[in-house]
Amino acid sequence: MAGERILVIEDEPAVVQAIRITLQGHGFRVETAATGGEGYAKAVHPPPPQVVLLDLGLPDTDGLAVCTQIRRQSGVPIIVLTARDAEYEKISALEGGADDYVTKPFGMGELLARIRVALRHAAAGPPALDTPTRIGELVLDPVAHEVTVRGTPIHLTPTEFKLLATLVANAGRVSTHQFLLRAVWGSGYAADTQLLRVFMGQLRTKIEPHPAQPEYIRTEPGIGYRFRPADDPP
Amino acid sequence: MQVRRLVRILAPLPAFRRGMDRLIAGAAAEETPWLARLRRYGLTVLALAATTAGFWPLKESAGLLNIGLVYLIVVAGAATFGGRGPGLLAAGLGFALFDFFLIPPYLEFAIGDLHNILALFVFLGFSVLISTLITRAREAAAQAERRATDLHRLYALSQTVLQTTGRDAILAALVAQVVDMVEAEAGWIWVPAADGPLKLAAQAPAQARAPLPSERELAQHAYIRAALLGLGDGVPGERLRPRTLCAPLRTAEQGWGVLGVTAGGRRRPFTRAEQTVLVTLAEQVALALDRLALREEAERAEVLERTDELKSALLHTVSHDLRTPLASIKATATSLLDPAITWDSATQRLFIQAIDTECDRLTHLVSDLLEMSRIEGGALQLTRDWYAIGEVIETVRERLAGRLADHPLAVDAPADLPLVPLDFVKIDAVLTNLLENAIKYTPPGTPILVRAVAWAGVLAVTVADQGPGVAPQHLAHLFDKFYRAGGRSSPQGSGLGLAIVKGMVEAHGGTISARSSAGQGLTITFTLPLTLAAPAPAGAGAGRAAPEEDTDGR
Repeated sequence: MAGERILVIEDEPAVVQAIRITLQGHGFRVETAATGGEGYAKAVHPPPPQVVLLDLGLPDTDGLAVCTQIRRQSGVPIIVLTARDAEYEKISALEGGADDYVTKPFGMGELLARIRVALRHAAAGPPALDTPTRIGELVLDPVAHEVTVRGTPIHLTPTEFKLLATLVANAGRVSTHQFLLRAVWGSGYAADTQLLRVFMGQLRTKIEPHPAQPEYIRTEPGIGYRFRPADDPP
Repeated sequence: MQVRRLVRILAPLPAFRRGMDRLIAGAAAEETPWLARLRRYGLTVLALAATTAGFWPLKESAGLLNIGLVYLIVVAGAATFGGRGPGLLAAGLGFALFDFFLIPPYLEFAIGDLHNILALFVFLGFSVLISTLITRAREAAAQAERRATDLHRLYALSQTVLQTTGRDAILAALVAQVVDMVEAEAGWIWVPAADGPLKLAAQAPAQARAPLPSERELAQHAYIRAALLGLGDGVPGERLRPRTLCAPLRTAEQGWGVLGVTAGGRRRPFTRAEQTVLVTLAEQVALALDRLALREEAERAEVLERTDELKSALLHTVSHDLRTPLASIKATATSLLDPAITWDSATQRLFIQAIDTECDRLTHLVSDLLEMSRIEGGALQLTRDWYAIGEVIETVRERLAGRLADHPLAVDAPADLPLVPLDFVKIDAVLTNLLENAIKYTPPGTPILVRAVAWAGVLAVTVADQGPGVAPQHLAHLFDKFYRAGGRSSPQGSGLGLAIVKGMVEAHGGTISARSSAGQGLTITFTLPLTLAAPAPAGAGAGRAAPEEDTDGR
């Protein structure tokens, strides 16, 4: 997967330098932009990047606005970088078309993992509906409506199965509460986080070896859930 | 006749209040000496006698109806000008005189004609009716007038609370108004202390004597019993003539204290009407205090809210500023640690340099924060000695020589300037900060001027650049913490530099100000007192004016 173009829209020179050199070391081609205007131009004009890293605290424009603008023109995966701890900003970014986020200060390993997940999802296109997915020791067969963990079949209710299938389809990426509620229950339930919590609890009890320390379904505090990425070491 | 001081409860408050409306009718009479009352009754009797005497020669020809009507006029007159008593007297006495002198058979009460009996009783009925109606109208008018006065007083007291600031000032204004309204010699307001007896909170007039121990005791009793109490001369068994009155300041909500007034030695004791007025005033003062308490509570809440907002804004800025270099360090360090890549030594050096630079930035920010908290906490220690300001300027100029390469620096500090007591390190930091700002925010090649003048007991130092300047709306906040003027945003600064500069100058007893107009650069002037004692504010102001005139001519 080497050679992909990554666009870094960030104004902190030291952060840009570290990202640029490290990503180049991993074989990516890196473009940088220090302002929102420049970043937007580089994101939508050829040659297009395969992933955009977007800092939300830009000097010239609101990072959220840049995110929305890029999404209007392009389907490129956007990962927002934010030094702000306000959860609503992350949610707004995700609702505004971002695919994922990384909170500053972040380690390069975390950033690389997010970039890889974004690239894989972009390359795979819509999730396959007819082949079983294997993540760690969990196998989900969408055709047979079957789930096994370590070869043991797990009995899931239709709603639990739908919830798990949605999470697995987005493995490695953050799934917001709203996204999961809309996908599983429908748009009328988008605010019903209690409902989600109840089903998530049941699902964890059934698939997690230790439900108190989940290794498949991780909680993103205030935002949603993230299913373990397919290439995560067991 | 034995005269002695005594304390007597005039009335428990609620009962007294209920009795007030009934008291009003009598109030006017009570205020007038008994001679005046005698005169009103005397005049009534005289008018009746004159009427009777006038009709005596005409008793045969005038006609009973006409005579009766004239008597009615006298009754109406007595009721109107004399009140209820004279009115009723006129009705009764008129009836008797009319019958005795003017209705046949004359000079006896017997009445011969049945018609005349009827006429006489119709007259009596009419007299009583008229005198009652007129008296009622009088009372209603008096009551309306009293209500108007009450309202006026309430309004005046409310205005006092609205227009005055500070609880002590408000209490003083309230007691002064009450003293004026009841024409007392002096007045006091006591408020309950946290524990123990009431304490004096306000008095009027300002030079009034302190309350006597007996008066303080009276106030204490009035507060505890929630009743109007009087202290004065009187005879046991007779009505008290109080020279001092204490009324509790109470609303349904709360007891606020006691309002006391004294007639002093010069004027007559308080009448019952004045006691009534004092109770009303005390209620209105208590209501005013209620409103004051509500207002104070609202103000306190607002201040807390504003402090809270400020704190969260500061927290936001500080956490952002601290996190930015941390993000750089974290990103760089994790790059170096990446197990998948072996970095060549040049790249390693680049990363380590970046970490070093960001650490310096973080150190600078943290020490600025510490310095600021020291200044705000009053823990800034000055080590002052006598220096020539030129020495400090040269030291800073030498240190910044490299960075000043692009900015020609002109120094105007005459050698004959007086020595000034200063903390070298702190003033060095002040000048360094001002010069660094000038370098940072002006284009290369623009000159910077540092000028020092002695003026009216202060040394004024001006640092003037010729950069883009600062817009007026930002100028006022230039020395605020974390304030970054638009167009002057610096990702490198802590946002504390000028706030620290201000704190250090003020610790020396000096002042600092900024001046700018579009395109004319920014001029910052700070003053230092030339003596070790703290300077008068006027001297500091004069010192600020001088260099501004100088820079205008540049």
